[in-house]
Amino acid sequence: MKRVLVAVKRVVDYNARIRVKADKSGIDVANVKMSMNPFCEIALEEAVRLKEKKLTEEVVAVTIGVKAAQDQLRTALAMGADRGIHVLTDAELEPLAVARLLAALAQRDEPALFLLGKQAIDGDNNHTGQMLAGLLGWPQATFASKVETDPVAGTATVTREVDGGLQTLRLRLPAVVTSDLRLNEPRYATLPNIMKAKRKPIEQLSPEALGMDVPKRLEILRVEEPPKRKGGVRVASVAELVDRLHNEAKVL
Amino acid sequence: MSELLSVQSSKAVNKEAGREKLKPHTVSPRLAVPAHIMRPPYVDTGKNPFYDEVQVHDAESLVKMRAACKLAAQVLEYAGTLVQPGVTTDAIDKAVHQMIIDNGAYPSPLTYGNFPKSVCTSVNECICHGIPDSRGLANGDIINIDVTVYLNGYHGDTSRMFFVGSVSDSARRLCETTKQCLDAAIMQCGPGVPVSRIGQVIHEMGERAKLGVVPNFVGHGVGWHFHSAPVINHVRNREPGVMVPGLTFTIEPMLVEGTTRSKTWRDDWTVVTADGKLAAQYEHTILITKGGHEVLTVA
Repeated sequence: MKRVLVAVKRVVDYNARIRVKADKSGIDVANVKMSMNPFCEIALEEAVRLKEKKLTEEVVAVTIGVKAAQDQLRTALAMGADRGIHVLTDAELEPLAVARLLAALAQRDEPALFLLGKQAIDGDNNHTGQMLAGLLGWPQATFASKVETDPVAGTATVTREVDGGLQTLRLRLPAVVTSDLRLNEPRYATLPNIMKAKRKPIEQLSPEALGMDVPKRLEILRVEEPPKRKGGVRVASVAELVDRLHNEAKVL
Repeated sequence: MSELLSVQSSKAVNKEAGREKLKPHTVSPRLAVPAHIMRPPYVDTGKNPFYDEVQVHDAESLVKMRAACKLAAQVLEYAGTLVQPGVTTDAIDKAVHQMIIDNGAYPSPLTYGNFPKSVCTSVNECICHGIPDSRGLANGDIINIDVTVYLNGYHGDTSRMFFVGSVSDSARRLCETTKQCLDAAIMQCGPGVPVSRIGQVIHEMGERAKLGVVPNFVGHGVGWHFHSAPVINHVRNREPGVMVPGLTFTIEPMLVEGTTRSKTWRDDWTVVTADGKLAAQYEHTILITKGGHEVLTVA
């Protein structure tokens, strides 16, 4: 394959403690540590492994968002991507707008494989990969736990994690694949690779340059913390348990 | 004024261990190196080059390499004798700097990527690249002193832990385990051995001891260049590369009590654990020989 594209997203770090804003409009992200979405890391690692197996000539990392998202692109470059693309926008990102931008890039750059994380840990939407495939008319395999490509045959064989177990699909390339947790364990960006990544090129463009806008189609009504869990109660005997279940909890 | 501030800040207590949280102190002005001493090419350029080629020595080159490594080991041994409660890391730097230039060598860290001092002093939760400053060593501290010298065109790189006064049992265990990891990794080295074996050994040993191994700072090829390929990951990895006779590189595992996640200070060098728990490191420069390996950084 000539090229694999990987989309990576800047999200709140999975370890960070977050708080809901007082006006319930969203999460307070000021001064919170941001990192690459863990599923995007897994997708990127898979792409870099394909390059190491000489199944693709280059790996291109793409991100959409604010200027600071460049940090995540640099991490992607440090993990082994060859170059980066940064679509700069301060707009709030929704899956459909992102999918449309990625589709425009896919049509422009013609990758054989487009890898994404199955979902981002901020929105947890699990929409973007699927929408991207739909917009492009490409086959898709989501929740991938194993990816094998046959560039000569022009196919990818992907094992998916589904509710009933594992499903294996063969897709004709170009295709969209989204990563699940067990696909691989991403490598760490070591200091020498971070230094080398500074010299790799990042292309910056606006949504308009791709002929796209980033409209707000969804309105978030409110964001709330889950209800606080009440403490458990110890009972002295089975009889008391039955009594409480019958009279207090009213489940018997 | 800044001294007043640093006294106040050094009173901040690290909730984790009841010891004071490590804070930046004052860094003294740059020390001079006599003009006749050969400088590595990066000096005063602000650059921190990492070369992609491995460094394999012939007989002539090895003679000079051994000399540089032996000096580095001797300097490290001397530095250790200075470690006492109350002594500042700046004082250690001054003494180490003097010994290096007295032996006709250049202290490799000085101006590499704008590093301001001649040796790295990493105390307690500092993982690596600590800058010597006006902080006095306290009873119970653990300190890594990392010496690299540039003698006749070759770098020798070594480091080890020293105890300040009496240290806690857990600190002692952390340091001993780190040393064991280094020794175990060295034992595996020889021609034909995959470079990734080192990370496999260290990571497994760390896991068994329930200690973390820092993944993002690595050992490196060393010789006429300070830092080059091969990259020596100390965690399990899939780096390609096989050891060959004549190859020289460092192994420098960093183990931590708590999280392996790190933070870098505003000085752009000092790396500390994100949770303030202790970190330890040991380092040797290794040569691969036809029959196996040789530790070069011995006095």
